[in-house]
Amino acid sequence: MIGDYMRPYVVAEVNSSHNGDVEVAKQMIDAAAAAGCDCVKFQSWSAESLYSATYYKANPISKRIVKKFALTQEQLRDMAAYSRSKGIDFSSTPYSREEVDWLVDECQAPFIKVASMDLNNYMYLRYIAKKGVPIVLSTGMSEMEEIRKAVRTIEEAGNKQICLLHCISIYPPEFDTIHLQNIVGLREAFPDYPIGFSDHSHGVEMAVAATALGAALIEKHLTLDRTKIGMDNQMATEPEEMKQMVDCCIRTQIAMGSKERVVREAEQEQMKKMRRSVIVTRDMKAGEVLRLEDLNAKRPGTGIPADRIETLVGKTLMVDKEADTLLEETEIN
Amino acid sequence: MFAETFGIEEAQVAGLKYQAIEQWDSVGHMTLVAAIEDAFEIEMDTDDIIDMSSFEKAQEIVAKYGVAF
Repeated sequence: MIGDYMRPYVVAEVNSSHNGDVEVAKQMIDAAAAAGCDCVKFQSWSAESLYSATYYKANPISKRIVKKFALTQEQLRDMAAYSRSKGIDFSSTPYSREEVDWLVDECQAPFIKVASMDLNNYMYLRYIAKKGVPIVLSTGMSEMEEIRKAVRTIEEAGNKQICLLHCISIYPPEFDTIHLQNIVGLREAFPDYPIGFSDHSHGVEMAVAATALGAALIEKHLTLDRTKIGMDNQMATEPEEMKQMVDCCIRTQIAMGSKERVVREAEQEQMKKMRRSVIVTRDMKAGEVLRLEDLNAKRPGTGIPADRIETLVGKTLMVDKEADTLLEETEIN
Repeated sequence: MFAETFGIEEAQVAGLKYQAIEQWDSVGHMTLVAAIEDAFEIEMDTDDIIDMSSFEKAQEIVAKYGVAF
């Protein structure tokens, strides 16, 4: 169960940082779980489903790399099982109908992530929607009307389990292009659905700020080593920083609290130490009438509150008082 | 070849590491690999492609394919 302003559901985007090595992939699952992430997300693509022959003809080396980095469907299923054994959810981004089926039917993915590049691929969205599992839809590169159409397409296919992610499809984006306020804008436009943030920036700040804006889901790329050659290692986050991000997001969500102004018990206790109480400014005798210049306020706050000083003027002292001592209710009349 | 691919001075090439300059990102790496393969008429193993993280490492890897410097 995810929702705006709730504890954010944190997704570690593994992408292809495992470079096609399942042992590295398992280490990444371990790292994501240790960092406190709720989900580890892979990419289901194969060389065939990701790029066309036209692209590979122009970029033959890419085909070799994509083939090398891709996990087979069976390997993905193993990763799903391994993730579950480590107590972390598993999902993936599919790039073909076959990959969608495999994720849902064989990997039991609790949700399907749809990449920004597929937001306007309506036939494909319809197919995914009909699988009946929740859809997390990234909205990078999309105009609002395109997002509306994508959402309508999914709804009309009978699926109303949608989470929209604000996303800038630049890796990494300049800070002035991130526009986190889009989270608020998406929420206003789609009040029925939780809104999250797919963070491609360096550092933890954007995820934390998104959490403060009530993001229901935070997605962040994970790598074990940023210096390694890979598709997105240059903008991915290493485990230590991922843990820092998760911790910061959780603390931020807790700290955001509510708009209602309430002085809690702990602060009321603090009040006794930190607020001021009324004192007399000079040695005084019983029977003297208090004047404003006889009174001041100092810590601690265990006596008559400072806000009552003016109400004490004209009262009579019942006892002798030493200068700079707290006045008690029972000592005046 | 590094200098030509990345548009840098030859003096900058020694000790150069992946991501040390803006041009040598994942896309630049593919361009570099293509240039090396074309120049030496070799086809590198993908493990070597993703292991080629510095100029010196590239020399070491290319040497495996019988290229002498």
